[in-house]
Amino acid sequence: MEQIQLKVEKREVFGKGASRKIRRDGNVPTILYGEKRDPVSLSANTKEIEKILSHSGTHPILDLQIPDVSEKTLAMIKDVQTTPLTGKLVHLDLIRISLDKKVEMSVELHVVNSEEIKKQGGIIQLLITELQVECFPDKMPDFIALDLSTAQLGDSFTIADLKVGEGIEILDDPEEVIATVLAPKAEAETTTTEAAETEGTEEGAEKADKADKKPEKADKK
Amino acid sequence: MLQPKRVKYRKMQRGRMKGSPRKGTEVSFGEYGLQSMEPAWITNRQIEAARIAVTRCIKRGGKVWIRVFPQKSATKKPAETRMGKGKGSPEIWVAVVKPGSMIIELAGASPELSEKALKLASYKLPIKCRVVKR
Repeated sequence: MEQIQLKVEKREVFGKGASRKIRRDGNVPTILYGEKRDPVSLSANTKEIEKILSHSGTHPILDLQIPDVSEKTLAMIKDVQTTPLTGKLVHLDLIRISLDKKVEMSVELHVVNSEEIKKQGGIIQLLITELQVECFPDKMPDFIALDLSTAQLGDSFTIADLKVGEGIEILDDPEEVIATVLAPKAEAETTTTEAAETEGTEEGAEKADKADKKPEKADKK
Repeated sequence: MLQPKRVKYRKMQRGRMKGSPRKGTEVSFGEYGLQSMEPAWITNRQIEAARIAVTRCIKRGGKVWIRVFPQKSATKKPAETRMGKGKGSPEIWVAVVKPGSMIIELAGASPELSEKALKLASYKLPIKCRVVKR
């Protein structure tokens, strides 16, 4: 796997105000930890990080260029914090890695070949979206695929059903259910239940209204 | 309609809705979600109206998750009442929604139908919303 060079600077100031100033200057507060060494606070250029995140897959290997540090520092992105609405970068977690040591990461679960099951009206319900994976850094997959080409309505899949490449180990419980294929509801059934639901809610609302009115009387007394 | 089964205190202070939510900002269960763009109190009636709009639009197939719950009671004074004489009585239940909160999630419908259903649901809510994909 290609190593991407990333220039970072050591950060001497901490806290809310200092971090906001760093973000205003076009950088993102970053921390580097792992391999049983002290964590180091850094700041990296936001645009460079955004470029890496959008073009280099989900688990790129970064070659960090830290001023006054001569030894080669390799790292991977462990966590990215963004604002919920604008998606701006808030903070970045980097983990130190060695190419000859296995590393633990969370990898996304993707559903593939689901066209046939969708044609039958099946609803794919993912119960887990990320898996904990351990492997060598250069073997880290971008995602783990759940193949539904042979799936039938009503099937459920566990972690043991996933096919992963050689040298990749999933750390989660193999018997844990990751996805189920739900059969579609019959149309007649749906309408009846919906009607029952609306009736139920109206009755419930009336009851609730009455219940609300009771304490009012209690107040007046 | 949604409301708590039992509460310790009937009347609550109004509070403020500044800042962004701590959690519940991502599509966690379904494939598509309706995300709020503004802060607001959303009543249980509005949540129910939005839910009905989605379920009627997708007809069959598909699963809907409501990600907000009206935990907060809101009081109102009766009409033509002079000021004072204490706080009004609890009238409605509301969910406090901040910008970025995921309100409804949907799975199992086609992309076009999912977007249409969530758009229809957004018309039932008192805030600007956007449809987001996982």
